[in-house]
Formats: sequence, structure tokens, C-alpha cells
Amino acid sequence: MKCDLCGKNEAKYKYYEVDSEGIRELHICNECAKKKGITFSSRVQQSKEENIKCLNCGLSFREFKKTSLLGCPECYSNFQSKLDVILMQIHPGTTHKGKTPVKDVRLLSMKKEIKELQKRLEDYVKNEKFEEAVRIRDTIEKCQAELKSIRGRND
Amino acid sequence: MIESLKGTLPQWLNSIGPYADIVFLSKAVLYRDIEGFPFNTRASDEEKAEILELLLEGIKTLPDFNNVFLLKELSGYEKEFLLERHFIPESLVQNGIYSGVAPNGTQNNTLLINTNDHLQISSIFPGFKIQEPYSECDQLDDALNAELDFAFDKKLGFLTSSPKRVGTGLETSVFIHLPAVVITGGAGDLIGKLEKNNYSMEGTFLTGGGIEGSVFKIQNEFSLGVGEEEIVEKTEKQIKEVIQKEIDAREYIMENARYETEDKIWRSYGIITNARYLTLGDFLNLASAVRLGVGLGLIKNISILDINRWTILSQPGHLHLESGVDLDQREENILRAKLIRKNTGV
Repeated sequence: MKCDLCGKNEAKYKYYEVDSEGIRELHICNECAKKKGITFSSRVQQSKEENIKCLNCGLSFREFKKTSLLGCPECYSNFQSKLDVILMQIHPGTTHKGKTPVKDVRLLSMKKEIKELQKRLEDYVKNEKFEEAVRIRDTIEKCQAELKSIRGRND
Repeated sequence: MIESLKGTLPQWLNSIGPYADIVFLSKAVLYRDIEGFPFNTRASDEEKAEILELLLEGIKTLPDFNNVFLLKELSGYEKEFLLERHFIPESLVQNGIYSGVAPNGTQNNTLLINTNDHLQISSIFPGFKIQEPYSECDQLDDALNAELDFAFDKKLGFLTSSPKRVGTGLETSVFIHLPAVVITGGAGDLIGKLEKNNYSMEGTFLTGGGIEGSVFKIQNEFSLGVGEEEIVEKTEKQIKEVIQKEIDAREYIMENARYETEDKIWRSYGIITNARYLTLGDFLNLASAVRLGVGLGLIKNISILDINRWTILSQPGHLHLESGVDLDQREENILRAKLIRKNTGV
């Protein structure tokens, strides 16, 4: 079988490439493997690694590779070393930058208040009531600063 | 069972948004799983039933979600009806014993219980608007989170069954009509370009004959390492580029093949408004040409809103439920043609 990458040399290794579409199996030659900086584990070691199971739900890494779906939240820590590589290939970063679960009632009501103030701001601008708009904009900024400080304390 | 939905159209089918002639709708989805349970890929039937109960209790606390439809209680056509309204994914039409869906009063927002993940919070807006549906989802997420604990990790964010959705769990998408890109042979290139930027693009109406009607779904395939607002901004930027490509392609075909394009549009108009027998595939392709004609300002007596509605109302689930009897394929095709004629007054 010819190498899937260069199409010239005989393929020597089976190699899995992971992207947003899922997992693709590629057959590649020695040279292309070197170019890509891939080191291969032996077949025995590889099959051992694929047989590792999530201690919580029992899903094996082999099963995950078939469906690209995990079994439980703990799979993320139980397959961490293998998943890290996959996550790096799919996402722009490996650390969460988005929202955190809202448990704080004060946070919730403040978020709601800001939303309402923003709506009022839009109305003022639309109706060209600029003095009121400036005042409400300042209030929004104050609320947002406070929101940030509450969030910081929660973290 | 779904009588209450049948008579009323979702709000996103009652108005049009920015770039309506190109972007059919914009959608945001937040994927969430309840802490302490396996994902549905591994959950037992008992666990799925328990998750369903927990979520139903949570949904009860939300003021605007008074109807919950349990999929096990619905007929095949009722489930297709929900699929056609973008309430449930195709995987649940055949399956979904422990699944349920709750649309809000406007039917723009839906809470979907038990797909591979426990909960999908989604919101649809007409036309090209990414921020608005995300904001709706964000608020619903906060409100439900006050009742339920979602699986969350400080480093990885919200944990989901697919590593593709871990982090923010946010999927933003548009259903977009790209007839000129398809005619000029640019679809393949566009798919490749989007993939490089971690977006996917696929046909939304697939029949035996391939992609029908040049309508595609484009969505982000990443969710970790970027915040929600950044995903929204990236998607807006990405889709703007796609819209511009379609506008450019429309200009190109009108400059280089005006008569061929106009001929195709007017023939399609003639057929769709006079046909006595229309398969879904035929309808989608004719509607695509007519939609292009409306977008180019050629056809004036049909609006984008009309075509948006036909696209939903002429699908099998809607036709079957509207007629109230079990239709065979022939009867369905006749009814579809009748629906369009009735709406165009021909």
C-alpha cells in the first residue's frame, strides 16, 4: 500500500489523525512520519493503551475512537493524556475561557438588571435622549465592574 | 398531541431578519450535562429516566415553557413535524424513548432533553443574527443552572459527550442559501476554506438525488480556549464572508449569464405556481430558484417570508398532520403542489 501523504513510498505505519470531523485512519511511510515528527509505539503497546478504560463508566479508549463520543464527565480525567492531544488539534486553546456556572443569586439578578439597563440605553439612543443615555451608560459600567468583582471572588 | 403547535407558526417564520434572502435562519445551541450522571452514550435506561425527570422539574420553574412533548408519546409524523421545525435532531425521529422537547411561547427557543447530552438549549432567529440567539440561550442556561448542577471542570469548562463541544458547549450556526456559489462551482472551495477555520458546511436537504435546494448549514466545530462572545464574533465574521461570496457570485452570473439565470428563475416560478404534482426534491430546487429570483428583485409577488414558510409547511410531517389523514407518496406530492398554488393565488 502506498503512503496516503506522499503517494510514493510504501506505507509502513497506521496513523490516526483527529480533527473536527472525527478520526481518520492514514497509512504513512517512514519519511512522512519523520517529517511530521511522529514517533510510533509498538503494536503491543498501542493495543494496551487503547484498552485502557474509564474507571467510572467503563468506556474503553478503543470504543471512544470508534464513535468520537465519551461516556461520562470522568472520562476527561481518566483519558487525560490521550485526550489532551485530541483537544489541542480540535480547539484554539486547551483551557476554558467562557462562562462559569452561575450559582450565585446576586450574580443572576445583576446580569438581569444589566440586560434591562442595556435595553433602556438603546431606547434612549433611538429617541435621541442623549443625557439620559450617558447616565444609564455609566450605571451599566458600574454594574459590570461589580459583576466582575463578584465573579472574581467566586473563582 | 402536538395540536397546540400545529395552528401557530414559530415567531422566526413570522418575520425576516438581516440578509433574509441569503440567510434563512441563525441558531445557537448550548450543550449541557447534569453532574453526577454518565452521558447518554453510557447511561442506563433508569438513569435516562431519572435525568428526564430532573430536567422536567427544572423546566417547570421557567415561566415561558408550559408545553413539554415526550417523544415516546408521539407518532412518527409528529416527530417529523418537530424535526421540520428544528426542535429535534433526525436521530430522535427513530429513537428517543427518554427524550422530550419543550418549546417556549414563541417557539423560537427550545429545551431538548436526552440526546447524546442531557440537555440542549437552543434558540433560532430569522435571518443573520448570531448574538441574539446566543443571548437567549445564555439567559436560559443561567435560569436552569439555578436549579440544576451542570458537569463543569475549571480547566476544561462544561463537559460534554463529544470533545468537540467541551468548554463553552456553544454551537452557532446558520442555514444559508447559496445558489450562485453552487452554480459558479464555488461550493467545494468554500467548504475547504471553512474547514481550515474550523467551521463545517453541509447540505441540509439530502434526498436520494444529493443536496437539494442549495441550502447549507454552517457551524463552528470548536468550543474550547475561546469565550462565548468570541465564538459569536468569529461566526459573525465567517458568515459575513460567506454572504459576500454569494453576493459576488450573484453579480457574476447576472453579468455573464443573465438570460440563462433569468430563464431558470422564471421557468421555476412558472412550474412551482402551476404544478399539480410536486415531490419534495422538485419543490426544494424550484423554491431555490424562485428565492434567488426574489433576492435579485425579479419576482415581486412572492416574498422571502412566503418561501421560508413553504419550505417548512410543505415537508412531509407538516403535510400529513395538516391533512389529518395518512397520505401515500402520491397524495403527499399532490397536496404539496396544492399548498403552493393556494398561497400564490394561481
